[in-house]
Amino acid sequence: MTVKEFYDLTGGGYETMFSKFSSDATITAFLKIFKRDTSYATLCDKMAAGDVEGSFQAAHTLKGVVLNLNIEGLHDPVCTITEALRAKDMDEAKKLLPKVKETYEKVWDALVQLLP
Amino acid sequence: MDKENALKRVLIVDDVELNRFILKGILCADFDVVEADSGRAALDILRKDDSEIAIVLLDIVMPDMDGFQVLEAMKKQGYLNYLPVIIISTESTAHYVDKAYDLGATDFINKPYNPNVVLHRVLNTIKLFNRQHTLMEIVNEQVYEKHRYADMMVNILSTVMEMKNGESGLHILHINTITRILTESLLQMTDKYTFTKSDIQLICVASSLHDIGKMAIPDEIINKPGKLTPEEFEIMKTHSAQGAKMIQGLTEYKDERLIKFAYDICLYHHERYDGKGYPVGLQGEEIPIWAQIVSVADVFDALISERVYKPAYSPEKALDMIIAGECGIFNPLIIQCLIADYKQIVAALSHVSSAEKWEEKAKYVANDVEKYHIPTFSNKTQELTSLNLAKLKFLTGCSDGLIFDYSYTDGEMVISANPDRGVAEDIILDPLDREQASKYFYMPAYDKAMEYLDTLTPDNPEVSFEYKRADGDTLTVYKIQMLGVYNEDRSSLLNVIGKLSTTTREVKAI
Repeated sequence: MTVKEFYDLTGGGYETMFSKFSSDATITAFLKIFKRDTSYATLCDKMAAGDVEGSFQAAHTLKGVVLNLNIEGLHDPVCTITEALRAKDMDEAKKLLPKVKETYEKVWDALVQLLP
Repeated sequence: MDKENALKRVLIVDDVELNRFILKGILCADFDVVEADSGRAALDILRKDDSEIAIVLLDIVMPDMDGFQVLEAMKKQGYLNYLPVIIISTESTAHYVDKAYDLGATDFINKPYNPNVVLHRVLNTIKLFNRQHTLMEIVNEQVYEKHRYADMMVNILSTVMEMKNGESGLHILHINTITRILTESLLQMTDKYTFTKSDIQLICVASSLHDIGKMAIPDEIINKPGKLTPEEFEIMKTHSAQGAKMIQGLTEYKDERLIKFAYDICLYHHERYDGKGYPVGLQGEEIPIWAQIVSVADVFDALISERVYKPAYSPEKALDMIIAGECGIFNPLIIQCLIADYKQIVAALSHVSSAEKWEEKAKYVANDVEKYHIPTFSNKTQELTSLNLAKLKFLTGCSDGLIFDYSYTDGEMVISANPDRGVAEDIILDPLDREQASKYFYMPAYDKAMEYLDTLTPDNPEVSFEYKRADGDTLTVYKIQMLGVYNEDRSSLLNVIGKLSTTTREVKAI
């Protein structure tokens, strides 16, 4: 699988990313680190524990990572849940979490194929 | 500036490894990158590595200690005065941006990063700060130099006063130091008075002139070993008005703040808070506060120093005497400052006039200058220069000799105007042109002085010698005192300031 195929499978963003960093090797290096990033796992744990502040921090971190990697498929779900958590609206966040999970898992599957 | 070619060091502070990694990728070709994964780690690195880091890239949302807290700590510890901080954040809401700028951030970069923008923002910010830093250094250097001269003038003045009244020349230096400490302390204690730091500096210089009027008091009264008669004491008391008159005579500088301070200090430093002082009998706050401060400084130093008519009292005894009103009544606020600070004063007096004080003062004023921003720097320097000229002119007038300033760097010598000695205005001449020099100097003494110049060293910058010339039954004694002024790293001689005094007397044939 190529880096472009990874982005195409997960909702796009490759062109912008490549125009900025102009090398698949560089983007791959970023994705390798993304593979060991724990903010998604932390978000799930904190949500399960009902910790609003902790959940917000994790969501916020995940948002930064997703924006920096320009994984467009994750933009909307992660931004929406971050805003709900910023407003301390746990009920709304819980409603939004499944969408984040669904998209993240899709990204994860593609990531494992790209970087086994 | 000399590190222009070395890689500047960037500190990246972000708890997320990926974000640090991306920034490092963008910057590592042009910078030496250091990473911190938390606010505390960042502060630790700054503490250890302080002068090496040229810029900080700081994330806001971090667990434990967030970016705002890091900024606050950096501000408190003074890093923000010279170290630019660029905030890197996913947040772009007004609240975040405003708060970051309020806390002293230099710039704001949003995620996702655009490598080109990040690189140029960082480069430009460093450039800007470097330029500002260089300007600060230049100002610092100039202020330092001016203050060295100002201090030298005060030193010369105190030597002249010492010769005149037999009082220790240290008294003038002491008054200077005590005045500074009391003034600063008073400003902390109350909001009643407002001075800028340069005002304080001027008040201290002006304090050195408080007894200048004693120049006009006859020697037999000044140097009388016993108690003064009431008539003599009345004459002695005129020294405050005499001093004020001398200062007032400097019409050319009448609008200078230094002159205003000096006038008040000369005239009113023997006034007392209860109205029982002299010459006017002003009461309470009618007495300018700077004169009130100097009067306390004057009395305190007189008490703790030995005089022909009294031993030196301990600082505690002196304090008790002042509190008990034995030397007149003073402003209670200033007494409170003295009580709080007398130990600090005694400690400061023990190393008064040491060289590092000059540097300290230069920094002190330079810090003040910083507040007024760059465009006023040259004004400041000009102001200091004209003040020094005023002082030089004034001191030359007080002196019975010729004052000359030999600039090694310019290869010229300036003889300051002294109408009493037939020099109507400042003379500039080439020191190596003997014909020109012979108009003002007796050449054998002049040549001797030139020889002595070679003996000056940074550790031993002063020389003084006498040259006697017998001519028939008159004996002329030329006394030359010279002081070498070196550059900051003491590697080269910049100026030689000197004084030539001539005395002639009849030699009776035996």
